[in-house]
Amino acid sequence: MKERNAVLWNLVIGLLVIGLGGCAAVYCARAYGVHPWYFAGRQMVWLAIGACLFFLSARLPFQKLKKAAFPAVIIFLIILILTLLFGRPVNGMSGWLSVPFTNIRIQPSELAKPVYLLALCLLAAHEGWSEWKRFLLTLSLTAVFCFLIFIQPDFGTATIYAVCLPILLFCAGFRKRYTLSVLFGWIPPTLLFLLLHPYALRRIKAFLAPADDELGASWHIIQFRITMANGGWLGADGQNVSWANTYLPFSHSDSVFATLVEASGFIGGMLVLLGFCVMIILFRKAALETKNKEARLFLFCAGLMLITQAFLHIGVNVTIIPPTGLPLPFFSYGGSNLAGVMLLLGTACSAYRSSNSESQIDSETVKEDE
Amino acid sequence: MDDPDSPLFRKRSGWIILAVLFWAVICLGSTFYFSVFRHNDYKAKVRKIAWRQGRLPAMRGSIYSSNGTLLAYSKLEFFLFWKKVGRGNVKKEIEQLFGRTISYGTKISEKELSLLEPVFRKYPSAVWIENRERRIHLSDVDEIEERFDSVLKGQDGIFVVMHDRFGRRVPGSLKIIREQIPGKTVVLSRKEESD
Repeated sequence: MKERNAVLWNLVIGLLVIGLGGCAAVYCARAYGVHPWYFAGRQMVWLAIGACLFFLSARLPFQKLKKAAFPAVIIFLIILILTLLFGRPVNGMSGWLSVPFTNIRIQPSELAKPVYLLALCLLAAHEGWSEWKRFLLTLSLTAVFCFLIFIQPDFGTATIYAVCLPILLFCAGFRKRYTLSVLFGWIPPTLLFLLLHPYALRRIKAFLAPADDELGASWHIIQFRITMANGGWLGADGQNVSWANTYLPFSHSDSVFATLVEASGFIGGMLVLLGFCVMIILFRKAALETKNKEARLFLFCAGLMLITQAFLHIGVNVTIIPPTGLPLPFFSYGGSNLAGVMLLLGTACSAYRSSNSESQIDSETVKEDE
Repeated sequence: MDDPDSPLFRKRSGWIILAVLFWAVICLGSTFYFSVFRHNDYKAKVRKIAWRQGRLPAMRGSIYSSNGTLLAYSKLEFFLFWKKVGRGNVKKEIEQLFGRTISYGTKISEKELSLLEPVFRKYPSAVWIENRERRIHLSDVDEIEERFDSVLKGQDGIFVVMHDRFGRRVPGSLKIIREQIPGKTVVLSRKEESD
């Protein structure tokens, strides 16, 4: 027990260190502003809150979290509907909800990620149901969440929710036709989104031909490239993140990877990418050590959810996919995102701990029987 | 409860890991392409877009008569300008620093200029100074000014500074390419005076 607590504390410390790296990135991105510490300071407060959330969720038994998953899904769906009705528009998107009597705004779609994923894993791994029934239920759950986030409209976050389903079905041992049907099934809603939101279509056109409209639709793409080019091998001269501060839009949130490359160069960007790769390999290793199917699925898919978000963010920043607003886990400014990530990791930790303690008890019982 | 699907999970998760690593390699390649391979091309673009060259006017030299009387000299004066920014009251803060009331474009002394450092840091794009050189003639020396112009004018300095997308100077980005050389002092000989 003591050993497991020590591991937990080590994890908390590790996450705090990565989180502080994120605060440094946020500071770099706003260093030329009037109040350079404003966003970094707030991020530190959210990091502390996130660490507490991680610790609490990791200490809770996975069985209890499983029981709470579906009531939590209903609560979050209600909150998402309230967000649509009373949400505060930020950057043309009404995805934030003000906490009454405070100055705090939260993004429920970020906080709902662990709850959604846990419910999805429980449905996909349910042993008493047929494959078809499990598929329909997981699809319905994803469709409801995606619909509520799509109409905010937050295409980036909705994509993360949508991508989780085919991955989960694939890993949960569903036949390939289910995974493929979901992959192809996302095409019509995506096309509908593009038709309803001309700005998204403009972004795709700008991505395909950035030189056509450098001062308009391609502005962000060009700025990503210039910001990274400023970084060189080891970062801009004297680590002055001047371009990210003055030209790059959302340098502390949706463009933080480019900011990191300007500050620390190609080597810094490579280390961040390597860190995420190591993270997903560790998640898979932990999942393979886990005997319980639900816990194993959740562990791997939680890692993949983080990595998908991270790699889509990086993909946008290195301009290999069209621009969309997605934060980089741990590094981008955003309290809800950080808290959501910590909650997701805490739940994954709980799944790993509970499942392994169960298997320990199982093996001890077998020994006693013998 | 051991899961019989474990080998299938191992295989399929392995495929996903491979796909993730493949994506990581593409991202890494693109990062390398822009930050290292195209570094110089984009640096040139940066210079074109954001960096502007400016002139640092050299101070004109003084003119003395043959008996050492000052006939003309230059004086640098500083004028203070500001604009409203957020909730901050720039004018009030400066007045508290100076201990006097000020108006837009007010003339300030060199001592007052040195007091402004914290205000510049707090409002980097909202407070600025304009330097103006004033030539003071104590005697009618227009002809001498013209004759010794090449000596008196000195050499202007050159600086480059980065501008942000709104055309404001980026604080701390100013680099002096060439220092200005002040004009030399001219002491007239008796012959030149009589001419």
